[in-house]
Order: sequence, then C-alpha cells, then structure tokens
Amino acid sequence: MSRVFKLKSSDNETFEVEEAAALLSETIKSSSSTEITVPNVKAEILGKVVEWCNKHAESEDTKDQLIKEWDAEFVSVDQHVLFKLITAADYLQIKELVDQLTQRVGDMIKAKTLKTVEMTYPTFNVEREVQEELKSLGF
Amino acid sequence: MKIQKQQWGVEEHFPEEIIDKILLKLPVKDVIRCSAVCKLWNSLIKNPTFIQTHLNNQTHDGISKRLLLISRQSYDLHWDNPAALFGQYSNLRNPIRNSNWTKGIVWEVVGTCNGLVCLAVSSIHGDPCPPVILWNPSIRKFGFLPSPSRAVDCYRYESYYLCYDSRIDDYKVVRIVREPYCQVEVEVWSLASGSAWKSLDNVPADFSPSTSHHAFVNGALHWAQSRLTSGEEEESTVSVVALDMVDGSFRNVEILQCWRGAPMISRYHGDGDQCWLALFDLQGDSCFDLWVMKEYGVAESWTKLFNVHLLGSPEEELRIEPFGFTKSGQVVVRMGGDEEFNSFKSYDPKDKQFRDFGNQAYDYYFMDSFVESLVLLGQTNVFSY
Repeated sequence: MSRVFKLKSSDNETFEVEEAAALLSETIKSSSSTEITVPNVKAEILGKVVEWCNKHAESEDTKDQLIKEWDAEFVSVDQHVLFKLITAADYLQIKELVDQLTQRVGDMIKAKTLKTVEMTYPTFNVEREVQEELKSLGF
Repeated sequence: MKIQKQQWGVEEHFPEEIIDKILLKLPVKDVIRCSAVCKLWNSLIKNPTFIQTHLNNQTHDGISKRLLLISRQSYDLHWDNPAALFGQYSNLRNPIRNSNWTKGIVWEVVGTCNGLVCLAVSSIHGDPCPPVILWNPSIRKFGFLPSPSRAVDCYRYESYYLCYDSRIDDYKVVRIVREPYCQVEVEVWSLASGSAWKSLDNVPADFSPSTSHHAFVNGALHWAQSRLTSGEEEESTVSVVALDMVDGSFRNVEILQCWRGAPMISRYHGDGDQCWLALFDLQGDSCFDLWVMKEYGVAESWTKLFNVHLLGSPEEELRIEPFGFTKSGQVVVRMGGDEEFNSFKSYDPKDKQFRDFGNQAYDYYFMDSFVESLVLLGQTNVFSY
C-alpha cells in the first residue's frame, strides 16, 4: 500500500500525490513528513509539477519517444511560467525536471527567443590603447 | 553610448546554481551575449571556475570539435569531422593585420590551447622585437605578453610554445632561445602570475630541442632532439625530451632505437578523448610510419599504427610530409612535387584513401585542434576588437 503525500501551494491549495511520483523529488524523499508546503509556488505551477511527476512515475521507460514528445510540449510554455517552474522544481529537487527546464531556457537563448535586453557597451579606440601598451612594453 | 534596461521577469530568487546550469550548456557566442544581460550574469560568467567548467563541457562534447587552419592568406576554423568533409566552419578576423601599429611586422600563429591562440613575430624590419600575443578569437580579445628578460639579436633565435597547467588552471608560454654557440635558454611566463618571465635554471646541458615540431601531451611539452655521436660513421642518436608544465622538470621519454634521422613529433587523437604522443618515422620522401606511445612513459608501448605511402609513378617525384591530425585519427599530409609542395590531403587509415583537404588555394603552415572557449574573459589588459 503506497503512501500518499500532500503538497501544499503558497496559496493554500493541496495536491495529493502517490508515492512513486512524489519520490521523484529529493526534497520530499528526505522529508520526515508526508505533508510538504512549497513556499513561493502557486497552485497553477505546483499543479504542473505534480502533473510532470505523475507522468514520469507511470512511465517506466523515460527514453520512450512518446514521453520525450510529452516532455517537449510540457516545457513549451511562456517565459515567466518557465521560470516559475524552475523555481518549484529546484526547491523540490527534481533533477530531471530542472535539467529539462534549464535546457529549454538555453535553447531559447540560442534561438534568441528569450526576452532579455542586453546592455550595449561603448566601444573603445583600440588602436590608441594598443599603441600605448606597446610603448609601455618598450617597443 | 546606449544602455537599455527593462524588467524581463527573471525570478529574484533564481539560485545562482540554476543560472550556471543554464549558461554552462551554451556555446561561447551565446554566453557572451548573456554576459551583457545584467551584472549578476556578468560576474557568474567571468568567474574562472565557470570558464574552466564551460571549457571542459565543450572539450567532451562531440560537436564542438574544430580544426584551426592557418595560412598566409587566411585564418580559418574548420569542422573536425570527416562526415562534414572537414569543411570550413568560419573565417577568423585576424586582430592585428592591417592595423596602424603593426608597422611592417608579421606575426604568425605558433600554438593553440583551450581556445587560446599564441602569435609570435615571424618577420620584422629592425629591432626591438615586439611582444608575443595571446588571442581568443571566440570572444574577440587579445593581449600582449611582457617583454622577455633578455632580448636576442634576431627573432629567429627564439621560439614560443603555448601550453596549459591543469593542476592550477593556468596558461603558460615557454620561450626557448637558441643562439649559435650558446647553451639553450628556457624561460616561462604564466597567465596567473602575470608580470615577469621566469628563467629555468635546471635546463639539461645537452638540451637541443628540434625547432620544427613539438607536442604538448600529458601536461608536458615534448621535442625530438638528435645529437651526433662521435664514431666512424656520422650517426645521430635521437631522443625525446619533455618539459613538464606542472613542476618545471625536464625528463627523457624513451623511444625505440630503430628510428634514425629526425622523427617528427606530434600529438595523436584517437577515438574519444585519447591523446597520445606520436612520432612520424620518415622513410624517404614518399613514405612514413606513424608510431604512438599508447601508455605514456612505457617504452614497450610504442606501437606502429599504420604506414602512409604514395602510390605514384617514380617519374612524378611526389613528396609527402605529415602535417597534423584530426580528432577522428586521420592524418593530414602535405603533398607535391619539387615545384609546388602545398597540396593538402587527409589520409584515412581505415580505407587508405587520400582526399582533398582544406582550401586548395591556401598554403597552410599551422594546423591543430581547436575548441571555442571563454579563456581571457575577465582578464585585465586585454583588448577587444
């Protein structure tokens, strides 16, 4: 008879999770209680994390093509949802989920679809500086 | 000067380990872009541990392998992949060509290591000798080394070698001075300790490293050296001497006595991350054997991997000379007749075929494996271009 864990979001919603899914989280694994409150993570996000755990607990073979496609869809979310998911997965120490989410951020950076604004730095007059450096080296 | 900033929704509580995790997986050019996002990311990226970890990830990643191919005409990076026909990956903008301050000096590439390229002077009108340059083309930065402790009359008497001390994550340049009728002098500069060259006082009295080839293997620089033995026949004994970059000691590496003449020393890459000391035993103009030391330091482990020879008609008088290796274990050779000796081919020992290599219009003088890295990022006294 497997245990049932209760995960509580920061806005007081509770999710019941079967043992196999819950133990994908190192935080839960090393917790003495079956009731864990996840601070700073709202229900909408926690629910998605639970969904991921459930999916990965029921599927034995994680190299299965279907699960890969499901995972790819799972991480294709808005930037701000993605970051919230990372925070939750990191708190719960679900290594594979963190890996998948951070990989997604990396892919967005490479594809330049991650919304950031990069500061532009002034360019220097290299010629003059190089001549000064050479002079100081005695040349 | 424009600085734009806006809220982009990054979690204030994003742990640094997570940001590191994301950034470490990115190729160099994307990491550089990320270093301009905010101060936190900038400082995470310029951290020497980050730079080293990022480099190690790149080194073990199959798709990041490149070849640095240098000719008088062009500095290029090629795919180190036979399936891609070793095609060109990118052209590197030479940071010093056609600048006002080059004044008729010609620098040439003398070494590459972990994404750094070392440039030393190959031709100059007059004295004094300009400094050596360390350059990272992937992040477009370069810097000058300080002037060595003793200048020499002619740039031809000195040679420079770039290498890496993995124990302390430090890049070193070795300068060897070979003046006629004088003992060979050796000094070392290190990026971590910065300012001055340090002379080595433990140079063996008979140290006479070959000027033409060297190999950085197993944390040490290796050279072949041959000494004329006195006797009735003018024979030379060949030995391999190594300078360990970690402890600065010299040692001999045992080689088989069947080699005569001056073998060419090199670094062989096998499948995976194997890196062996290699020796080309040249037998005449159109044939050579490749030997590798499968177990470093064990003389019995010298193994002949294969032989490369030209099957041409004798009247053609084609010559062949080894030029370098690819990471897939192919040998790149230079071929030609008396008139033109600048046709480059790759030789695959699996099917014993020669194939055209590189741009046939270029006359290459340097080739080595290359990896894009962030080394030099965050260093002071480097220039961007």
